[in-house]
Amino acid sequence: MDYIVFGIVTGCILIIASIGFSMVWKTENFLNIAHGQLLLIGAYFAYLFKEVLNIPFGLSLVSSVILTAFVGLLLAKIFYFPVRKSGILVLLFTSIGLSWVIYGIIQAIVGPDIRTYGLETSRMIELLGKQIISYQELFIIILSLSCVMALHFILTKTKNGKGFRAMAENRDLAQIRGINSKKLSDYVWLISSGLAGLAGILLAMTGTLNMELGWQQILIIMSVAIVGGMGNLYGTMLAALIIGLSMDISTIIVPTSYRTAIAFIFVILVLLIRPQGLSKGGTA
Amino acid sequence: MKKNVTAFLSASLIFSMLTACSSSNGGGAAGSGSTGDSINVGFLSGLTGWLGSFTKENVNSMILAQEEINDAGGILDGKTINVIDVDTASTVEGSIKGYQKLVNADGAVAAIGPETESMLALLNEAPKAKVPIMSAFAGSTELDEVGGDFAFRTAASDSLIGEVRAKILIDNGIKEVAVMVGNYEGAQSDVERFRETFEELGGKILKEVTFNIGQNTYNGELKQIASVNPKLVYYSGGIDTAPIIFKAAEQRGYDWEWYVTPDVAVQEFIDVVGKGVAEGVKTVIPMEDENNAAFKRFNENYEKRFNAVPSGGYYNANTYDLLIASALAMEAGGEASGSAINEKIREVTNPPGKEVDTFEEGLKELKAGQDINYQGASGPIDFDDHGNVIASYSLMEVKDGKWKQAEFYAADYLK
Repeated sequence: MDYIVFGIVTGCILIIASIGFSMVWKTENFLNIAHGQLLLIGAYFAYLFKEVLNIPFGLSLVSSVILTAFVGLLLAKIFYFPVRKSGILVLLFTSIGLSWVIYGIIQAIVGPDIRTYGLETSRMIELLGKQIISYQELFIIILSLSCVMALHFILTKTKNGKGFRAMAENRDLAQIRGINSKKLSDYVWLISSGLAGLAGILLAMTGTLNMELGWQQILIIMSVAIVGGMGNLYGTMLAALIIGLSMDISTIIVPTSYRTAIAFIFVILVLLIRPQGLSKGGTA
Repeated sequence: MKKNVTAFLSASLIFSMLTACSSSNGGGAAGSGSTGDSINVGFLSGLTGWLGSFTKENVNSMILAQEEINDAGGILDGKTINVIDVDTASTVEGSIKGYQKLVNADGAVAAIGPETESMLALLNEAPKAKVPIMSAFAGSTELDEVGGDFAFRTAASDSLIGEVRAKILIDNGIKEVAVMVGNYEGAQSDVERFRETFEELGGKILKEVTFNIGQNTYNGELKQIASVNPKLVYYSGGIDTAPIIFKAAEQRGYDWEWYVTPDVAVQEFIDVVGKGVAEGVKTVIPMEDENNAAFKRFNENYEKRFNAVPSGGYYNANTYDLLIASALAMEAGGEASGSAINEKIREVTNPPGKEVDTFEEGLKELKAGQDINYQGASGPIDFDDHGNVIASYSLMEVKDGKWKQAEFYAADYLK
């Protein structure tokens, strides 16, 4: 039971970290490597607000997510949009370059020190005298579920959401049908970057804030997105949960040092058995 | 259908490129090569990355040694020492690139600073390049019997510290422990000798759990440790992982006594874990003898120069000693080269010879044609055939948010 809870928590953080990556992949058709560094930006914004400006954590979290969303959009407008027509390889290498630029700038500002948000260690929730989950972990699960539900609502019930799905299937056709792809693209970058910022904050909240946070996460994020099926958002969510669970539950049988390897074995197995990923490859 | 497989392969390729890119962080400090009047010595270490917390003070220690040498008139009739800082970003790739830069571009005579993994990676290269690699904090047992030729360290070997740690626990009546160890050479090596000695002395390792760095959570690993209900857990891992593990353990009410590796015995550990969680955590670290005159003077001079007290156990004195000993070795060898350091470093630091504990004193005796035995700020620094030294140790404990010495063990404790 404990290991299932651990896996769900790991999966929930992965969901938030991976959805934005998948959204960009689906609409812009390239792997945005700089997504990892947006996690870092969000995490350090929250540190700035909470520890330097002494703003309460809840408010710091919300402000940082919003700020990261706009920083992500701004970066996209400056670096990605002008080279969009040059093809996905140019976009890909631009994103790698941008990753290093962001990494270098943050490092120059914050230095090599490891930091935390200075939050109190949260208590455990007990059920029938048995520890089940901490309040912090419950918060992560609720937040993750809220994001999933909000995204589902946006995609299925709003005009922009439907437009996003249409644009993801065929950008040119969507444009011909009168969908404002420019405006929708902005929304995608805002949501994607905001979620990345949120994931960064959650990671720093459960662990530490260090410069390698973005690099450490990007490979697993890419794996989740690939297993999920070519940017399919629901597939990505499912993949995040399955990978999280498989990593934590596997530690009962195999040594914990192979925990990460299990995730990638899973990726390979999925690609061998079902190369299109868990889902068919549609938008949602 | 193949598109997704291609995407995965692309992702793997990209990551390989990213990893390769990370090695390009090395370098950055300027150096004009050894000239007629100055001798370049490299400080090759992670100024950024996980070593960054340690090396801030090590850089100062190098400056202190450099200034003492130059203020005393330099070596070899007035040649001054010029220290070139090369940031490895705490990566092995960065160290290799940085070492090549120091050798080929800067004409440096020594590379002081690499950590365990980098020392191992450069071990074969150093004798070919004839530029010694000298570490103040590479404790790996892997280096126990392979150094000595263009590879030296003033850090105590993990085998010794592992033995000391095991003996201290047994002497304190602790016969059963669980171990959490990081999945990398430095951490594994740190545990290896401890495990052997602890079991030889009648102790029992209840459970050993290996963990990967960079995970989001370590609840599964902690649960496995909890399954054997230990009283004491030994943690050997990095400072980036420690807060996640220690906070989660506290959260789940695991009431274990913790011993940690020297790698996290820094103030930053307490700051990031939190005073409450860190309280009572213990470590055994190589520690300079506070009664050693050279160490006292090093502390005073450091404080005077940098307006800050150097942290004990941060390998500051060890770093300082490497530069002083290298300079004395070059003076004794009569030339500014890595070969002179390699050939003469034992001669100027080991007995026999007149004991000296400053560079100035050593220089004077060498000029007078005397043999010297440099007594370092970090200890006697007598290099054995494999370039190792023995050290004295401290049992440190976190009290009121600070690392405080609980017990001092002289270098002969194991005897």
